[in-house]
Amino acid sequence: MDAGSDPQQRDDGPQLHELSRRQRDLAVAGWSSFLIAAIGSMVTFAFVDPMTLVEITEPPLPVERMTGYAIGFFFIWLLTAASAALTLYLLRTSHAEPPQRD
Amino acid sequence: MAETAQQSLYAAQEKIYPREIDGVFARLRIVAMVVLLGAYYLAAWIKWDGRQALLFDLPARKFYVLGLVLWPQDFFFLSWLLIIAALSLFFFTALAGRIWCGYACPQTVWTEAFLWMEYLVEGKGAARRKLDASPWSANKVWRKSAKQALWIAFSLWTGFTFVGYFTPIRQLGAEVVSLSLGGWETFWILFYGFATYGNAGFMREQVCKYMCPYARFQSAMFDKDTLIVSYDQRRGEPRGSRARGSDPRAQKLGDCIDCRMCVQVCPTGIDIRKGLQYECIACAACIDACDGVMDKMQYPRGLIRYSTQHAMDGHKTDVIRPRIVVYATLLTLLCGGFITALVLRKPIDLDVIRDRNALFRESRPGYIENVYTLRVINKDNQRHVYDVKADGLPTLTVETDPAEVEVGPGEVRSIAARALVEDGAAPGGGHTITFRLTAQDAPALTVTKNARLFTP
Repeated sequence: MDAGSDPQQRDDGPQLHELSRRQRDLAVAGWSSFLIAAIGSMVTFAFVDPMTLVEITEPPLPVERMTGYAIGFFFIWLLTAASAALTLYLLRTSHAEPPQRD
Repeated sequence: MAETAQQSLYAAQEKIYPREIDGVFARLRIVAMVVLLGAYYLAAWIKWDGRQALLFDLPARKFYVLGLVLWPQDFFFLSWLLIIAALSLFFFTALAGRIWCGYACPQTVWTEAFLWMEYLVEGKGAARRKLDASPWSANKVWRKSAKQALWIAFSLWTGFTFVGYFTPIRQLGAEVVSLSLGGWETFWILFYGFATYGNAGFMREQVCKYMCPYARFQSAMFDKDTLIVSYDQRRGEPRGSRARGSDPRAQKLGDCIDCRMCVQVCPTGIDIRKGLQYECIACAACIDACDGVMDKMQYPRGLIRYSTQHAMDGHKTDVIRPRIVVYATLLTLLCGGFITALVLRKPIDLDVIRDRNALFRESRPGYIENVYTLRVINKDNQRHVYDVKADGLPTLTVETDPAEVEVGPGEVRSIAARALVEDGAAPGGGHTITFRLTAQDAPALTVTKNARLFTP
């Protein structure tokens, strides 16, 4: 980047930042899916009491309400994270660039 | 080609060591930080009517907000509040740019707190840079571990406070002291503490640059009258160094002495002189830095300042413009409606569901019967016994099973109800009747619901 090619900036001794491209991809996928999972589980559990889900679960799970919330949140996060990661993967591994429109 | 473009987008970046700066906006940021963090860490400890003033009691599925108890049935208030929050963000962004990012965003506020702790232990930006570059020594080990200890303790305290909004915080504190913390509570304290550490200690401005959705779409709310941090190109250019006290005009120079202070203080490491960039979180550190330099050079302040595109181009700035009026009107309506709904909110609700199996039947000689299911929702904080009545037709009576409806606090109860009219009291067809539910101990606690009743 042009900030890096600036002589005055270089005098201060450049240090490589910790985050690589892959780490950044993971951060983006993890964070965006986390935000949506937080909202999603909030809306879900506003209308559904996890205990009613526990009652209809087969085989029966001996869990409390707090465990129900946690399982629900992480399950939703797993789904949103998988979707985000798949989206990033497909975008990153695609060779064809869409035509530039101007 | 595409590959190189992506490579440069994700090129390894230099670690940013923002230089500390004092000035009007730096102090404003500190005030915002103290107020917001203070509110977060203290509000959980405030009591109201002998219980925690702000408690989201997830195990019992009810929210305490000051004197109010909200049940899952009141979820619509929460979504309404979120809509108001989103619209406020639009409104303030259109008006004053990214002041949210610069002063109020949790990411900014906690990063600021972590930077302050780093400054306490490792010193100023230049000293930190030197420390990082130096080989490991006793001093470096001591400073690095002291910083980590401070950060980790602060993160754990943050996580503890967060969980304290869901489990009564005094009880939680007692559990921590007696080492009898429950499994999920321990987990969520560590989880939230880890998230705080990761976002504010490790990721920092990377969150704003790569992970924040608002940073990407906020420009949609911008127009040429929005307040932005901007460099006065016409006054500053051509930039260049000069001897103090020399006449810049004689050297054909603008007011910018190209000292790069504005770049060194920037927490996201951009050069504001290149114009508005999406990485800019409008923290105004560059304004403080530049004003200091202008003072030293005895030039007027404000080479970098809060301004608008129109003002920079020499036009008039319109504060009141259609976009602002629309946002403000919507916001006023929503807030007014929210307060009205909250004031008029009755801690009782009733749903009437008609039995779908039969329109009507003749139950006992001379009477026509319609069957309903009544869902009685008691959103109050105490148990009530309710009477059910119905009117709208002559000779109309209602019988419920059981006759008196007793519902506990925050409970929902479904009961069967039969509405009876004398045969011939009403012409054949559908009629509208009104069910009325009244608490025996509080006649003001009443709710009505219309339903259809059919006769032959």
